[in-house]
Amino acid sequence: MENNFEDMQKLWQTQKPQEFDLTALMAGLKKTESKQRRELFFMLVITPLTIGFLFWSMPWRESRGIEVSLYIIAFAMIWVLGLAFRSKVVKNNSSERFNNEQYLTTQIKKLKARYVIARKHMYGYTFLLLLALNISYYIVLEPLTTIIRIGIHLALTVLVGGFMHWQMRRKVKKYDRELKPMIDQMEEMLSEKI
Amino acid sequence: MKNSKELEFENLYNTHKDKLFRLCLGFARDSSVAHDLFQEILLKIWSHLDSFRNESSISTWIYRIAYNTAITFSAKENNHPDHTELINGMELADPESNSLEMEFQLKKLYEAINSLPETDRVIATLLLENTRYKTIAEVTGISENYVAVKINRIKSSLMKTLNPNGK
Repeated sequence: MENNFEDMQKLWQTQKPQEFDLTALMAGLKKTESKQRRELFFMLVITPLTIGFLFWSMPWRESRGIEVSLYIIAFAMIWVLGLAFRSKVVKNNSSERFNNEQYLTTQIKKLKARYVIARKHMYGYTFLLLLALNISYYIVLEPLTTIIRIGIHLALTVLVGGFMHWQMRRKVKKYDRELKPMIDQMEEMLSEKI
Repeated sequence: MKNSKELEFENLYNTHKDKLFRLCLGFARDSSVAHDLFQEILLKIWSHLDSFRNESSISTWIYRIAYNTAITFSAKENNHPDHTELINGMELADPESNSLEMEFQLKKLYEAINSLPETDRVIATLLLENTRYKTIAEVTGISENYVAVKINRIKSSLMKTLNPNGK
């Protein structure tokens, strides 16, 4: 085997890639790029559309309570959109500007932020959603008896809250499986540099 | 008719494809994974091409993208230990260009590189491409002096793996 490093370099540099059809490759890259752009666009458009639809379909002019609940839902949706959008934009911008160390630090921060979103912020979102729904139901259910109204409020809260909690637990478990080993490994890489 | 971005990308691709490809082989565990990594790097270069601002040389810029993509990719891939081992990565190379003996030597070299920690792998593959210490320092974010220290360690580690009898 090679006795000096120069031989090793020569051997290493004998490796050549298979030739790509560059035109097809660029067409594929453009397609992927426009798909990513489309996803970002939908992400930005879906929330205002949903909020618009809610205001259009709900009788918010007739009741102050429904109006408030719609504002709460709109605030919660925009807040979550902001968190998601920020993580998307950061992801796309960092790899060419940062050296390995800065990049690893950013990536670790970003992955940990996803945990925080799933563990903390989504509970905040659920709370706001439940608050808004309960305000709306409080007004809509006014003609019914107190006991039925309380029952419906409780059922709604337990069902929506339970479903959201279950979803978040699943998400966190998924992150434990997929993100945690990545975070650990990146932290290890970072510590190797020091 | 190709636009200026396409022409520039084509030029960059032709200049750097060999190095990028070898980098992928240094990080991937099988041919399909190396292929995916190669494509992911190309996609990032393509999508960031407009933002290149001549703050560093184009090679350093490309290396940054490539190595940052590779280390993240490597961290992801380590979550899937069911992949076949490194050697299958050799299938990506042009099979007619290497003799059996050379294939064997390359196999050992890839094994030696793959046994290094990820960050050392970055330095090792850059070093095997005759990259200047300054560029390695810029890509990795460690000082040139520390790069030199690391390089000595990496060289002796590779030599030891490749020449266990210490010839």
